[in-house]
Amino acid sequence: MTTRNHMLEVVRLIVLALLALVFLYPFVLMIGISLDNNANFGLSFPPRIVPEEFGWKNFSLIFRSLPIGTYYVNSLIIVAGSVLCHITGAALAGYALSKGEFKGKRLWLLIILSAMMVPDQVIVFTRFLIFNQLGLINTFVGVILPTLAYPFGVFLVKQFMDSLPNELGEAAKMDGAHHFRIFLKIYLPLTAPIMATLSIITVMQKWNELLWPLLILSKSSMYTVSIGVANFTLGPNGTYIGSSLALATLTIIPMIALFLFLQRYVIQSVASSGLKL
Amino acid sequence: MKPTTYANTVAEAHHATRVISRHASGRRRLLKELSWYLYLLPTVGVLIFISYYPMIKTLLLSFYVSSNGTLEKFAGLFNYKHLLTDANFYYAIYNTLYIGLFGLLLGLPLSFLLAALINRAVYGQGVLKVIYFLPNVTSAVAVVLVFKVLFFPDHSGTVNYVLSWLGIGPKEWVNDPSLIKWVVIFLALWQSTGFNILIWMAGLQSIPKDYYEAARVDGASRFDELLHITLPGVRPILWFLLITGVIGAFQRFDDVYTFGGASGSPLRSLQTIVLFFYEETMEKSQYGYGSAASIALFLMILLITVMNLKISRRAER
Repeated sequence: MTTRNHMLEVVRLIVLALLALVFLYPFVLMIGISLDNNANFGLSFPPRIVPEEFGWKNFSLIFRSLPIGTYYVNSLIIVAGSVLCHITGAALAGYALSKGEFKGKRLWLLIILSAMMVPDQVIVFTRFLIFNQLGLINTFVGVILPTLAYPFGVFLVKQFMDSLPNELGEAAKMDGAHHFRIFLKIYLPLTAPIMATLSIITVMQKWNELLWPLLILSKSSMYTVSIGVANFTLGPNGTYIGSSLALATLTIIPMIALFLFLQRYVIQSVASSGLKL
Repeated sequence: MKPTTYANTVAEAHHATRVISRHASGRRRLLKELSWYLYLLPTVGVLIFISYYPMIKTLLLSFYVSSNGTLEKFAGLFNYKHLLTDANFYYAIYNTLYIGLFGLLLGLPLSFLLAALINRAVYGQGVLKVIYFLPNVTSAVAVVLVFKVLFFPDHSGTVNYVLSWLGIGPKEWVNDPSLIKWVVIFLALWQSTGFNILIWMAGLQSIPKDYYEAARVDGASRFDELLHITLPGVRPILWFLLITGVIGAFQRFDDVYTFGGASGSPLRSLQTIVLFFYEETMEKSQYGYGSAASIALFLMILLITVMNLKISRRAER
């Protein structure tokens, strides 16, 4: 019986490991070809993942032909601004909806959550028209502003705050503390785990986001990494395989590094919130 | 009139202060209630501006002909009638459903199987979860570049090379209108499996261990356990993945746009619904028509959500 269980365990691990290799293969291929100086002249046959002539030529070509540094800076500004707006908006509204003393809390929650009924893609083009009229095109404010109102974030914070006992704030209230002070000093520090979840998910979503920035940012000096890559792929240089994969590597690596660094938190965040990245 | 005695004056003064103070405390209470609304202001204010107002405007625009984004000329149901006869729109719905449904049909069983295997593995659970989740953090836009090479049309593409071992000749994956959908399906499968595994695993771990022990005492086989304990236990997870998967499929944009631009090349075979109204609004400036398509998409998603809710409620009964 035990030997049979051991056998099963081994077979299970082999299957999982083999499939894991399949899942890793695109990364290996990407890095291997991007480090091959000859890759821009065409793919080798049979396909090889070890560079024929190892070198950084593809990367230097990308750095010379695309303002990739600017893209990085723009993406970073948008990611940072989005995280800040997102957690500020969600923390404030979540606190009021959980611990606030006013009428119609359920109604307000409903008003905020029902916005999720309509997917962004349905209204994004009209939103673009409105932002256009207000002169928010080609501004970071235009890209970042929508993250201030993120219903699901509000919901998560509210739920988290519901689990914190009201007595915490009541003691401070007896001493005459204002509810904003109670928020800042007592409840906000305790919400660190949910804030971390929201931040991690926002960073990864915003770094990879394409549609909204693509609508708002039409000036090449304002492009994010995603827009830059999409334009490169659709443009005439998209056929240079070495450069393409060097660019893909440059885009993907920051998020991979961040994920590997914070893997436990990321996996926990996703599993607990059910939010897609 | 009462005689003005000292006692009366005191009583009246008391009454007056009580009235005033009750009035004042009422106002203070109101102010205090109002101060709570300040917390909601950023979220609700921006929400009105970025969601509710655009929703109303999209609905309005869908009844107008508009080439500049304003309510130019009232057209009644013209846009909707046009939409119902537009072959491109039907093709976009077909493409969206094709990619979405085959993706789920392959993705959900695969991720369930992997989750069940990882859940039972004694070693390496953490590492395996990380490896399968890696594709999830990549940008679809960049991954398109990698998959173009992976599915390169001749034998130097890895997929064609592997197929050649099985005696299958090279396929024109990215140039063939029917095959490129499968490239997108595989890309989405690769990206989403890690996420699905995590969700399935959360469901598997929520099933109480004693159920299995009790079943084993009763002499149930592994298959019985799967059929009568595991599958009913993860049914809520299945509904969750199914509904978020279908809604996600209807929102598909990043990968198909990067592969084939607004028109979904080759031959519109990648034009999803979102790409369809991207083309109508951003490239053709048909804002009224694009809005009608948006409303149609909203109705489709609403219909699926309601249907899903109905079916899952009935299943629970």
